[in-house]
Amino acid sequence: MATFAMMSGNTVDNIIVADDKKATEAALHCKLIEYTAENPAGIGYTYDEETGKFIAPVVEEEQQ
Amino acid sequence: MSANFNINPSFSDTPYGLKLQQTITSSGSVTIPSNIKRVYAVCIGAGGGGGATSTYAGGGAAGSFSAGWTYAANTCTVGAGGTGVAGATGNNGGFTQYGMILAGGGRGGAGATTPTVDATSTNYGGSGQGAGNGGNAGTGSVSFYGAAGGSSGSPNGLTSYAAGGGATGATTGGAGGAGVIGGGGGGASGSTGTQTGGAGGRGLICGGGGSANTTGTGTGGAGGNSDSYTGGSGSTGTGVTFGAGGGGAGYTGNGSNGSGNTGGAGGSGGGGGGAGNNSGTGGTGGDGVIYLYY
Repeated sequence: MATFAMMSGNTVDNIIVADDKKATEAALHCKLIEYTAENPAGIGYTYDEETGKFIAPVVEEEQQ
Repeated sequence: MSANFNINPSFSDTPYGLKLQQTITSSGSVTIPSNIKRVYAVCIGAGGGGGATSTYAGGGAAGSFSAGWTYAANTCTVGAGGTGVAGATGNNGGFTQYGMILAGGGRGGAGATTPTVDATSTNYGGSGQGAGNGGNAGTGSVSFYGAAGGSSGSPNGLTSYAAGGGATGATTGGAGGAGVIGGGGGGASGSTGTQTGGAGGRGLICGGGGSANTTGTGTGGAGGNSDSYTGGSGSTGTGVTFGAGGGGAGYTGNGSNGSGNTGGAGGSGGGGGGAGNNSGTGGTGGDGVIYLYY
């Protein structure tokens, strides 16, 4: 079982577990990109096709 | 409150007259006999990843629980546990969906930054994450059943269907709120002396423990326990190489222990990840799961 980013354009819409990438893409009518602990993905991340890396969104720090 | 709803086993009983036919842990196609038109589905969202910073952080929140009747669908989505990231807020868990039943992922434990509002529109019905360094505890979200979310910690998160996260504490982090979906524990902010991270919230699905980072005796918060499964314990010892939080118990498995500066993984079935500390990594939340009865 592997972990995949479910893409909406180049943004991660959900992160899921699946056995078979192609079969799951066909069943769910979506694009999946596998991610790993070394190249983690999260909801809201973007994917850089040139580097093959997921990029975390910039979150503004709240004043304490 | 006369009913202890957060440990009420009726939430996990087999619906009367039905039989558990499928336990699904992977996304894709689902085969339902053609004569079955309606299915009772239980969906568990994935747990949030534990937070991590150069000092202390908050534990990840439990994934959501949702159940009900739906049409017999031929596909499903099973959320993956949010990963812990070194020096940052943990990632939210993925949502789990079968037919019309959807359970959101738990929020990642707070690290050096604070998401003032949930960063994703898909995080429905989640509990609150624990507070970390520079971060506030998260409040619980409105649940699928209409119950309001619990408030965040002061210091402890409040009990609710989707409980709030624990706040940062001077020597002991606030505990995550108890609930059907437990909140994440807060971090302990002191850098000297005895420091203990906040425990993850207890519930049907449990939050991860917060972390501590001290030159004295540091102990990470334990992950929350359910009636059926136990949360992991926090790592403990003298010095900053200890203090990570344990993972919360999931719907189907125990949370893992924190180890050194690395938070424990949340239990399978949506347990929240434990927080990391001292540049360690937060634990990954537990993956989601689907039960189909017909």
